[in-house]
Amino acid sequence: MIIINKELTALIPFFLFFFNIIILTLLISYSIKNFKNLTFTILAFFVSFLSLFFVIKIDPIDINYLLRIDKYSIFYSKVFLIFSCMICIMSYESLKNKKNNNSQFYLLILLSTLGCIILTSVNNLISLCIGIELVNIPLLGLMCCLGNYKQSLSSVIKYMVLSSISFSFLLFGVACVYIGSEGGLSFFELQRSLNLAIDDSIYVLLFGISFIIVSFAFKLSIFPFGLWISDIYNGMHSIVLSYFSTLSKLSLFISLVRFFLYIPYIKGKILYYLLEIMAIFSILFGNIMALFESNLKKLMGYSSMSSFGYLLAALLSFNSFPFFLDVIAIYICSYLASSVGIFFIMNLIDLNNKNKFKENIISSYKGLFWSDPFLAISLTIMLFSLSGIPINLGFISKFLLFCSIFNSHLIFLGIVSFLGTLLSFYYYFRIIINLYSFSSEFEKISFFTHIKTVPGFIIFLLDLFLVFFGFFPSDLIVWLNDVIVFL
Amino acid sequence: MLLFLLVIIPYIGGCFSVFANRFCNRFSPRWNALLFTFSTFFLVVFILYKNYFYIKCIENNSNEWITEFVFPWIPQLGINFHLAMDGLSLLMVILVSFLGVISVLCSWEEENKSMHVFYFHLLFIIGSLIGIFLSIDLFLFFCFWELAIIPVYFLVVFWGEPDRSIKDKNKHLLKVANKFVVYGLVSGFLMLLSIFGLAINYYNSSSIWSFDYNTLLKVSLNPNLELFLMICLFLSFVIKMPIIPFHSWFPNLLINTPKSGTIDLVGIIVKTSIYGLLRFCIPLFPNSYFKIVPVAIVLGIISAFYSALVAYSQKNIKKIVAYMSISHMGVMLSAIYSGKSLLIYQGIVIQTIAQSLTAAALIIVFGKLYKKINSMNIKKMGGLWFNLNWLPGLSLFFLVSNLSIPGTGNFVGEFITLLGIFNHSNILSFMFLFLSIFSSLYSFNIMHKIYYGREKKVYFIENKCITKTELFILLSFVFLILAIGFFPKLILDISYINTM
Repeated sequence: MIIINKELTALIPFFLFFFNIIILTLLISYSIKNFKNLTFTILAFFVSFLSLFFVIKIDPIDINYLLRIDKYSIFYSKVFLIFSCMICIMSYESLKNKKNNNSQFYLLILLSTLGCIILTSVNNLISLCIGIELVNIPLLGLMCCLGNYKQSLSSVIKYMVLSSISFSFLLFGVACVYIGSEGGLSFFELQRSLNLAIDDSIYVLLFGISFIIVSFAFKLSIFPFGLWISDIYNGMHSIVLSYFSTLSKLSLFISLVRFFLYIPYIKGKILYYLLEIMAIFSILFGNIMALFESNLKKLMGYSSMSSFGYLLAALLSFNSFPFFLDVIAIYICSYLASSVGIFFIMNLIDLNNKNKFKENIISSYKGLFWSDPFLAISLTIMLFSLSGIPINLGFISKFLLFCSIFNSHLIFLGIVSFLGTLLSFYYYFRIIINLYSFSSEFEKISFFTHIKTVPGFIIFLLDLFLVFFGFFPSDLIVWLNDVIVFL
Repeated sequence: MLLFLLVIIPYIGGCFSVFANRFCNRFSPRWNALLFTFSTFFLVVFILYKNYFYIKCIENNSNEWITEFVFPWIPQLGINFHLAMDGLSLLMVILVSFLGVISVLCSWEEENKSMHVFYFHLLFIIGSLIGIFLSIDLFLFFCFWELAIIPVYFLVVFWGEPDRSIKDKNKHLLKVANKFVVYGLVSGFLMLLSIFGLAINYYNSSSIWSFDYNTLLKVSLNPNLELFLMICLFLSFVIKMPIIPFHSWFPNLLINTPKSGTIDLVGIIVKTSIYGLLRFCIPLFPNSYFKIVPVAIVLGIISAFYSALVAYSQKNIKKIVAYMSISHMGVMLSAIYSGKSLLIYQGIVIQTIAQSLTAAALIIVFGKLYKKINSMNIKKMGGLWFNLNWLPGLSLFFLVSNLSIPGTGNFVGEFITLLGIFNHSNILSFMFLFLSIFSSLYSFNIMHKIYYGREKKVYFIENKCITKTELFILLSFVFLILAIGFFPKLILDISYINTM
């Protein structure tokens, strides 16, 4: 095992992360002052963010067939660092209200983000397993940090059981691939052995890969394996949800994209059919279940299920559309910004009105606009973006998605996603209309008081991001074209 | 650049009026809205004036736009912010901006809750409508088409005034508005499907992305695909028109809107689909035009006759106006599909303009009537002629002009259209002449039941007169309808410059 200088440089962000985690552990044991720990966490994010700029100069680089660091992985690492930093800042207020100061929240989020960054650059099934566990195990701790203890405990137990089952599926799949590819676990070797495989051994390989897909489907909550989603979402605090529903799933999806680029279409046709069926059903099921949901958290769960269906559809449309990585990137950006924003807003409303929002029922947001116009307008923008109404980044991403789907002749999938979008309009509008209806008993908060605070400013930035790139998406596309050069 | 200004001014005005009450007194949103709508109107008239010489001198049908504005928006997909104006869109934009000014004036004396948000939505509707009529890039057209739906939804839900007998007011409004949105979005997505089909077909043949109207006109399509895409686009317009099997959102929406009639003026939204059929559906799919002719004509005839009959049996005045509008739409749909000729096209343009003016005026008159006697039900009215000053005469005028009596703009439109249809199929022409008997039935039914006859209930009407603003508005409608009727040449000239 020889590691060259260059490879060490490429690993700097990971080392920095480890280092920071150790220091933070010591800090927490020394003092439990919330603010101090938060400052250090932000610093840690900032340092590793800066270090990514050094890595850009030497990409693409393989590290021992375990990780592959290229523009793709660096771009997503940056995005994840920014968003998890935001989540840390937003969590400060809610953590402050807790009786026993839960500074370990920052520690767990740092650990989990490390897993996300590893997942963006995995190139080997071993590192994939490590990354997935590194994302998921701290998540179990995170869920308990905030919110109602009893509720979150039940969702922790459910999620733990599910994730261990899915992990065992993953291990089984990896073992099968190991047999099929005669002792190779990296994606290159997988591709090579798929190309060379004769009738019998290809079945073993495909069997293994389909088990890996099943395990992914468990984690991404894609249709037949994602029925747990509403239960677990309901029990979690909205800050934790903003991490769980976006970063932890998206990092997995990004590794799935990389994994699938190594599977040749001709050999793995059956896998693509499998994914197509999953995508169709998760779009339909997620949207239909969300139609009848009156709990906002559960509704967001179902909507995230359908969003991952759309993302899978984007992944499937790879063969004839050269920009499909861009499409995925734009969709991920808009999904991240809008759903993280929605959870942030839910959290802020929770904090402002402590006793009213226990249930997260949609009707409890009645008349929000008349009491708190800033949050209501931001929530509207984010919901519009999720549903894909024009002049919004969400619309552009949906449009590009449909372009790529239809262009690769996946007509049925395209029509289903059309239908799903139509259905989604209905339930998003139901939320929006609640915000503006005329019965308010809130105390009035003016438009500008929010922007002066840090959380309000973050939400304002997210709004600006969504609307600005909705107007001028070409800049974003050009930029992404430069950034994401695969392989 | 003028075209871009034309689209952007109402949007800016909308954003201004949200903050207007913060800086001035509470009436400033009104003044602000009036300022912006009026400046839009002024700008259109300016464009008309600037190009008047060009319009006058045009000899033969040149396929050129009057003005154009192109700005690359998403170059990767060949999407441009492409606005262009020919005779048809010029007329439509004049109509929209005029009705915009009127709609602001119309709610001048109303005391609505939170006026600033109300005007925000109103100006957004006007902006999106102008965008629909000017955009030539199909992607842009779709954007505006969707954007027009959202403010209408909010206006109905928050400022709607349903019938008094309905107990749960909010729930009822929500139901009505949801229906509208669902129909609107289905229509929008059928359109998007069709646009995708066109663009991807073009991409496959030339490997260049383009959503531009001028480019897509020249594409040759596989006949089956063409038929499919055409049906999608046709359905999307027919739903919005509305034509009989898809019409149920329209009367419901109309009777639940605010009684001042502000939104109904913007009921010109339904006229966008006539424009869409003329501009996009027929030129983009020229070969499959003849395949859908029988279906379209039959649909049009059914909806014309059926809704004329339904209008006769209604009790709510606004519902009668709604069915009246559906009936006219049916006539226009079958006229569009009865043959491709300049005569029919020009007739339809005049008819569209004249009819939207009459329908708007009728809605305003009935709104004022509602304010006086607090009811929309015909059965409760009767013998009001001597109780009111201006309204009975004006409503008689508008109802009669709705029947296309010579001298009104409606007459010119209907005459030219029927003349055009007669060339292609005389039976159809006779049928529509026959329809005028039906329409006279419901028109005089309303007139008789409201204003003549025995008084069913003694109304205590404090103020017989209407205010000066209202009188001004209604007289300007009278003037316009008569002007179109006596001097239709200008409109004929302008609509002659078309690219279809």
